[in-house]
Amino acid sequence: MNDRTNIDSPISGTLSVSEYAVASEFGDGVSIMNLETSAYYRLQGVAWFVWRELATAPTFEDLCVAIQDVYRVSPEISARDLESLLRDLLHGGLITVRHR
Amino acid sequence: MASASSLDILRNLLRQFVLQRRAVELQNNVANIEELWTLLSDNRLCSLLRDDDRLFERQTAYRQSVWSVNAPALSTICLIAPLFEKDSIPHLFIKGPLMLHEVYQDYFFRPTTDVDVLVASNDFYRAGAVLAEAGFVLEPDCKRVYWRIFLGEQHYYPPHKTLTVVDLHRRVRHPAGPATMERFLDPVLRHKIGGRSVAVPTPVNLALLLVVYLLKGIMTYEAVGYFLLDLAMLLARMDERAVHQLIAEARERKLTLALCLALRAVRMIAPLSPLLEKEINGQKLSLMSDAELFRQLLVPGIARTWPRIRALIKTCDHVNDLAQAVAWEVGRKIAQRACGAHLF
Repeated sequence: MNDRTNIDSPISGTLSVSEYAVASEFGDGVSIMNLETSAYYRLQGVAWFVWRELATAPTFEDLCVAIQDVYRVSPEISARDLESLLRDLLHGGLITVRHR
Repeated sequence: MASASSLDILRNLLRQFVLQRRAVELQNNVANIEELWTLLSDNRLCSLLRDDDRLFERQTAYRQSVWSVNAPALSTICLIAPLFEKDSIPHLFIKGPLMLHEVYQDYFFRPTTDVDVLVASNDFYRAGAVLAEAGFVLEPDCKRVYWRIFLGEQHYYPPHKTLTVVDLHRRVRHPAGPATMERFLDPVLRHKIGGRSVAVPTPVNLALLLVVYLLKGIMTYEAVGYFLLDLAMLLARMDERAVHQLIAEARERKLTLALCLALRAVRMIAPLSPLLEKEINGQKLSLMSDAELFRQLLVPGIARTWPRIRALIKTCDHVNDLAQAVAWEVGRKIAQRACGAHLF
């Protein structure tokens, strides 16, 4: 748990799926469970896209660029929405940030 | 009712899946897609197929149902494994989502209805007490002799909805043979999940467990295509050393004929190694053709050619075990009638 970031700090470093998260993709999204809390989550659309991208251990900036490329949105919007999503995922214990 | 052509299509899908080790595409010219889906569903094999527009809603519903049972199973495992460890109770998680991950690298490959835990006979009641302390409640029927002695398992209901039923086993055996459980508990593999390390069977032990489950499937006329695929996938990954060990362990545990029976079914969907082919050819097991056996495992409703007592006798490795097999079967029948149960 030491590598989990303080969720109020800026999201800097490489992002990855937490060892406490298990996921299954079906239909139009991915279902995720936190094994520590037994809480369930469902991601669709851009959030699902971001979840898939986590397999490559990206940085916040990598994800922003990927979202802009695929969804043709401005850097400001992608950064704002992505930060909001990542903070939710951090709150749920579903991702970790490894500081470089 | 599955037709011969649907069964042939399924056989080809299974073969492709084992060879490619990933979900396969359904051909456009499949005539009776409804029938095929029923066959896949009955055998818990729907994840064989890649996403298909013709089946989108059913595939989604299937995966959703898998999620709804396997996710609580994983939560349950993560809860109870540390409790058994803390009380130093040697145990093993069999059949469930951990096995699916070992075989398919996917905890959600098919639905697993409950969490099966194997413990040594001596620890059976101690393990039950650990579950009770965690809030699990023993199903009243399980107090009967049939469950305790003949099935050797007890079902514990979970304390809340995010968890699932735990089936505590103290025996894994050839339906007619002697108890072979202790050999399954040592050695074990450690499966990492949720920051923990959990005990699961070694590949050789898992293969032998699957052999027993397939035999039970034949005897209870259940569709067990999922166990057949598990075994085929496992064997496809075994190196020569592991195959040698599998053959030797089967011999030690009086499971050689049962192994050969299972191998004959496996070779309908995957090539076997020369060592395993040699093992089959060395045994006389002239019960039915490989094709009939395959059908028996996947569509027992129409096959139903094998009386269970015959299955018991024909898969006993030693003549000496026959009397025990028949006596066990008669005792089991009496105990089963006494409690009105219809399970194996």
